[in-house]
Formats: sequence, structure tokens, C-alpha cells
Amino acid sequence: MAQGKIGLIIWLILVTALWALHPILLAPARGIIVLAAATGLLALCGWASGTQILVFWSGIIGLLNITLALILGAHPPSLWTGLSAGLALLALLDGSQRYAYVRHCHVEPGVLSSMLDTFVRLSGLSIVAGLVVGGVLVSLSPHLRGLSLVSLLTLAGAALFAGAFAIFLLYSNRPSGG
Amino acid sequence: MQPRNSILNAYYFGLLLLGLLLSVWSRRLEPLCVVLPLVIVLAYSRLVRTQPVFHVQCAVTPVRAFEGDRLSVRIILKADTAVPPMELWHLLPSEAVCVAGSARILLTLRPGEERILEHQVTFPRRGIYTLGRLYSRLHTGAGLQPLLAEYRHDQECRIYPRVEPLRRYLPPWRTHISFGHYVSRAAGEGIEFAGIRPYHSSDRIRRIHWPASLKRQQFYVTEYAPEYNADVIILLDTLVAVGNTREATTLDIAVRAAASLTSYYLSQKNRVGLVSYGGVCTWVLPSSGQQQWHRILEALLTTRTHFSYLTKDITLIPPRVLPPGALIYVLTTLLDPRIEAVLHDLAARAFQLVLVVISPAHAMRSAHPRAEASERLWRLETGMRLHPFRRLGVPIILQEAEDPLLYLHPSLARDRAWRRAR
Repeated sequence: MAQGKIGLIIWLILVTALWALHPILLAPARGIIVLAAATGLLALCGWASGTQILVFWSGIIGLLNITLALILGAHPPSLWTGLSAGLALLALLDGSQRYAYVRHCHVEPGVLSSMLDTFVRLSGLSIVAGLVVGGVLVSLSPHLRGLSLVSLLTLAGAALFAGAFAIFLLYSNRPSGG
Repeated sequence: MQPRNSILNAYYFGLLLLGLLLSVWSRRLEPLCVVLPLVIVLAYSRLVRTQPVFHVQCAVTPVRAFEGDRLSVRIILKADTAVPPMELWHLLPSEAVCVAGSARILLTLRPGEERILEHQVTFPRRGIYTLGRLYSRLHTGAGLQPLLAEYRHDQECRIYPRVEPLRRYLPPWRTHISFGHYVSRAAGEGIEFAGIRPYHSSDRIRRIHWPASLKRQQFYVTEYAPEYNADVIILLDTLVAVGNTREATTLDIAVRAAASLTSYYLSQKNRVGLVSYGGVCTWVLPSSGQQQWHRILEALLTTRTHFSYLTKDITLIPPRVLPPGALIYVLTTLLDPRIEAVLHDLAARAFQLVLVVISPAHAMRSAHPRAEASERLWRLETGMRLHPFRRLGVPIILQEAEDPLLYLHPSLARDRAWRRAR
């Protein structure tokens, strides 16, 4: 199963490069390039040493970097830009966890394809959810005229969503028997 | 099976909050889209839950082995439902070395599938180890809430000290009439054929050698040679042990030497006993046969150093443990001076002593430049302490190789008394 492990490593390197270099495509400022390098380096160090916190930090830096690149580049709103970066982030975080297992275990045939199957299913769901969210936001935007009202609604919506999701996670955290 | 939250839950939720914050702050849709897949994964992991059903069995063979022997661990998995990627880990003791296969496997199972997994382990050190404790981690759904389970198929494995065969003849000085491998030159009562001679009136009829009698037309009787065996005592110095605890300490080396000597002398049908002399003094009474071999192996298995400022006087050990005239092999490091008093006492009681000195320098091999100087100092000091025993004619074997008994025969061959015994 060494071929499967090599395949996973190559895939992780590509995903790391994609995640780190994504903001440079939006605004090739020097600060953005430095942050991209830091993002890629942290992610590589994280999954090579099996330290998940480093991969998480690379996620934070990448997220900040992409937001900065969007603001600095005054890039027009693009649903695909966000979704592709999101899928790369998910692949990086999920792949680093899979790699931690694969590195220490003897991998039997069929395991990597099963893991990939789950990832593909989640990516599909994410694209569908992204399209729905994007569609809703785009359809809502002509109705929201007042700047202060939009700000207030956005803040309230974000807070409501975060709170409701946290409650859902905590509630569903209880073991369902077994 | 117990679900356990992975640390990724916290990471995903933290990134989700950051993405929301950045999206609100920058008034951009993209940061929200970046964290959207993480929201989906979190929700998916809570909503889609499966409870796979499978059975695990584990068997270890053999459960009794010697150091370095391979133990085969066979794990049988039978799935009733489909099993998602599962990490199965056979928890091995820290001393175990997995030489074939893997003790940690990532696999999936189809419904009704039966899978047999095998791996082999060896133990470089003697001891009693428990094998067969398995742990599984099932990555159901997105893998954020793995299901953990423990399977206890504990099997106690007894790893006995390695036995190095002694190929040369090492006869004891003093023997006594009993069944054994040592045959007398003079004829007498025994079972070993010595020859035939003409019949005397006092001879027993059943001893008549009929083929010779018929051929010579007069009675001839068969003569037998009486057999002898000896009492051999292995005295282990358990006062102190030094060395690498992961590989072998001086006590482990001494125990291997004791097992080799026991095996050799028991195969020659001698009576062999064991005395562990330390803070706690234990012994196995001298006896012969296969049962004695197992008795001594069991005693050697659990031999440990018991440090104490109090030591038992060797004179208090009963005579049936140290029979008069016995051949005593003393396996010691000579690091504790109390063993010297024991050696003087045994030499004064006219036991046939053989001193095997286990080198601490050999057990604590180091690449440090001062290690060689330390070894030379130890040799000088040991040489000085061994001088009185050399004057008494006690054969001394100083460990020069991995096997402390490698130079046993050449050392004994130099001794006149041993040459006579041969």
C-alpha cells in the first residue's frame, strides 16, 4: 500500500500549494506573498510532523490572507473563488488527519478509496450548499438598501447562525447509545 | 463502542467563527464560502451516524517461548454490517518488537466479510507479558466523531531466557553413584555394559551371557559399569544489576548463562539446583529431569534484583540446597562486595567453585571516550579483587564476548583438577 501513501502525500502537497497560493491569484502584493509562504510552510510542517495545530494555524493565516487579498485587490464578488478555497481548506485539514493515521498504520486495500469517497460526497454537498447560500444572498441584496440596516442585519444573522450552530453541535454531541 | 470527539471539531468550529467574522468585517461573501464546507462537515458528522457491528477474536501462539523466538498473533475479524475505515491496534508491551506484519492496521470490511490478520512479535528480554489487548477506532461519517472500543483477549506469554548450547565436555570433580552420564572405569552395579568375564559361584544367574557361554562351552557373565552423576548448583548474584534495561542488564546475561548451564548439566542427568543470592534469597532444590528444567526456568523467569542492606548469611542456606562437594557456578558482577564474603565461605567449605564474572562494561556499552577508561579501571579493580580466588585455584571466567560462557571450556581446561576429571 506504499503507492497509496505516496499518492496521498502528492495530493496533500498539491492541496497545500493550492490553498497557500489562492490569495496570490487575487492580489499579488508582497505582504500577501509572504503570508502565502507562511501558510504553505506551516501546513507542510504540520502534516509532516503530525501536529494538527500547525495545520489549523495555516488555515487561520490562509483565511486572513484571502480576505486581505480580496479587500486589497477589490476583486468583484465571486462565489466560485470562495468555494474553491473552502474545498482546498477542507481537503488540507481532512487530509492531514487521514495522513496522521496512514503514516502510523499498515493500510489494507480499499481504505484510501473509502476515505476519498467520503471526501467527494462532502465536497458535493458543500458545492450545493454554497450555491444555495449564494443564491439566497444575491436575491436578498436588491431588497436591502440602507447601509446601516444591512450592517445590522449581517451582524445579527452571523451571530444567530454561529449561536444556533453551536447549540446544534452541543446538543448532538451526546452519544446516541452503543 | 464509545464515540469520542476529534480535536478537528474545535478547529473546524474556530475557523467557522473566524470566517463569519471576516465576512461581516470585510462585507465579502467569499470568507463565508471558504468556511461553508467546514459547516457541512460538522453538520454531516452529527446527522449521519452509523453503528457498525463486527466481532473480534485474537489468538497468540505459542504462549511459552524463549527470548528471540517469534510469537504469532492471529486476529480474526468478522463483520455483520459494513465497517468504515477502522484503525485496529494491538497494544504491545514496550519490550516487544513486531518483526513481521503490523500491529496497527487501517482497514475496511464489507458486510459478512471475515478477515484474518497476522503479525509476529519477539521479545528480546525474558519476562511474563500480556498480549491480546486490542483497540479499535472507527471513522464513521466525516471522521469527526470516531467510535472507540477495547477488546480484551488477554493471553499471558512466558518468555524464558535464551539457552546457548554448550558443546564441550565440562565434567564435575566429584560425582556420586546414581544414574547419570558419567561411567566408572571399574565394573560394578549399573546398567552400562562394561564387558564379559567367566562365571564365579557368587554371580547371579540372570547375569549369564548366553551367546558367549554357548560359544565357549562355559559360563560367562556380563559386567556392568556403575554410573555416576554430580550435584551442580547455579548461584546467581541478584544483589545488583546494571546495564541497558531495554536490551539486557547484567542480571539478564547472568540468567541466560544460568539457563545454558542448567540445560547442559540436566541433559547429562546431573542434579541441578539454583540459588538466587540477593536482598531476598531464594532457591530451587537440586534435582534432575525435565520437571527440574521447567522448575528452574520458572524461577529464572521471575528473578529480579532485590536490593537490601541486609543479606542472608550463606551458611544459613540448608545443606540440602548446597550438597557437600557440589559444583557451584557463581554468576556475579562482583559490584557488591558482599558476594566476596559468600565466595570466601564457599571456597572454605571445599565446594568446587567456578566463578563467571559478568562484565558491567560489556552490558553498558557506550561510545563515550571515557567508557574505555572506565572499562580498564573496572578490569584493574576486578583483577585485584579476584586475586585471592586465583590463588585458591578457583577457575575464573571474565566475560569478553556477548556470551559469558564462550570461554568457559578453555578456562577450565587450564585447570589441573578439571583435566583429571576428564
